[in-house]
Amino acid sequence: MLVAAGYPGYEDFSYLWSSPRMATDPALAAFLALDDDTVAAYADDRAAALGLALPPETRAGTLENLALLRRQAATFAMDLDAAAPIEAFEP
Amino acid sequence: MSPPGSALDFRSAQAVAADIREGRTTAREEAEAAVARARTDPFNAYTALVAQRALAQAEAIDADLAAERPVGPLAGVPFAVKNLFDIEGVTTIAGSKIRRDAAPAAHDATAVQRLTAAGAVLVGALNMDEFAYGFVTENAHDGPTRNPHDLARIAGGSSGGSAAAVAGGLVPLTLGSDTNGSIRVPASLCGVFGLKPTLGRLSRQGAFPFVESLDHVGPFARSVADLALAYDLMQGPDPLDPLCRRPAEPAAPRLQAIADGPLRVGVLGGWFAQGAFPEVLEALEIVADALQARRGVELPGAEQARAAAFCLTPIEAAHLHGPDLKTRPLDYDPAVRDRLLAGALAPEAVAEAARRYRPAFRDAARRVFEDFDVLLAPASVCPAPGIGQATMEMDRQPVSVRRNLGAYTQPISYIGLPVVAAPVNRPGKPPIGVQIVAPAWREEVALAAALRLERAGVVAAHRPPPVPLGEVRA
Repeated sequence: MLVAAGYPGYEDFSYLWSSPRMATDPALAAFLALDDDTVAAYADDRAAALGLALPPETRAGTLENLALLRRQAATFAMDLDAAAPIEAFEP
Repeated sequence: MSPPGSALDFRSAQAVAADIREGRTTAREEAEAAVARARTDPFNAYTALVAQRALAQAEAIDADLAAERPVGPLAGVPFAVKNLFDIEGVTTIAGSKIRRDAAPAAHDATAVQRLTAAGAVLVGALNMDEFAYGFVTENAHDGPTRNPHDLARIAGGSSGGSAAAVAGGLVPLTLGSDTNGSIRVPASLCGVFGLKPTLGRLSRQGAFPFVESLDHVGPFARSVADLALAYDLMQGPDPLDPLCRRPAEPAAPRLQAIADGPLRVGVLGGWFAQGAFPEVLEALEIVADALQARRGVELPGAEQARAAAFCLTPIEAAHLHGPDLKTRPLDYDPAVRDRLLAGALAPEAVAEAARRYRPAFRDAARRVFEDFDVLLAPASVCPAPGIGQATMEMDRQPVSVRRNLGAYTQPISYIGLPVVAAPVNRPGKPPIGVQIVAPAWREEVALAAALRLERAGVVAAHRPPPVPLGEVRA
């Protein structure tokens, strides 16, 4: 049914709960350490590593949103217990 | 009863069902009238019609009634769904250009199947923000959905078509989805009731995914009774959505008793009051007074929870959209595309941190609910902004409309709590809604509080002013 519909269904997302990585992940620390002036270089490096082109029409908006994500992440990611596992969430 | 044709219809779903059962009209007449209203939709709520299907089902219901065979509680009631729900034979576009060439869905989504099994007659699919990523329903491909109370204003989003169709009298019942507020915000801006159930309560199978960790589906209606009935009819486990395991716990039969009993009500302060427009806080006060609520209840960590949901959303969504972001990024709505690209570039560790913070905030909410049965909060920071309006003022600072309409809804959906969005009774004024938040799996308490308010005339879905009927669209 879901294959016929042409998109992954809700049974296909188990990978989201499988990672035991810590909040002190170097990638997270590097991201949080950015400032708005260094986001562009970070984005270019990440895009190259991912094989993701940023067409000119998308660049300004993408950088603005990435900088916003960094600022938002800084509000909750700094003080987390890095040893805590990620649980399969129950409300 | 409205005559068959294009006159807008504000009967409740259960009134329509009663009219059909008692022979004052037929399911066929109701289906024809709903299709006619959809064809002259002045709100740009619809994006597709399934007229043949609707008429065929309606005729089958009329035949069942004529033969005195049993029919479901919504037999003959027209409904419509956000266009991210699978409809058999219809391409599930999810508000996008990307999916316009996808194969038609082979089956209805589970929620559609369950309402159809109860006799409800599907009329069509409804406009939304692209891939459910937004609060405005100013869709780059299908155009903006207009607020029935003021056609120059947005309906809210992402389930804007679903809210406008109910508010505007096109159908009495619709389905939407809510990841960060996409049922509650448009319900508030359009002045109707919406229910975001507990995460995992209703099956999401056959709804195009946005953010698996946060996605919910739920109904819109013009009364609490219709909202509760539709919710009950869609409950029950579904093996195709692993989160949806819980047996059905019907709410409607319990609402009167709970509404008549004591309710401990708190009004969330702190984050949930920052930046709210004065009329939003005034509306909240009306509701709080009616429920004799305690003011200024703190939910610690709400700002961080909002930020975590804000970050988790594009990063998780970018997983799903990775291939298309690489090969055809310019086919996305720019407002959606740039956020998804940012999510693709952000490290996965940010999303992991957002998932790690989630149980801590949930536990904080559980502690607050030890003293309260329901908590109140605004559903949106403001009444409906204008179509095309980019900024608004919060705390005297210009801020983005798109980024801030869901400021008060995001922390709640982040931890999956059930919420009724209820329209405050403000005749002649722009609609404003409140969130009635209950502990997990206690939807009946939020619905009962809404029922108490509805019976007292404190919340109500008003008819919008008359609008000129539009041109035939389908």
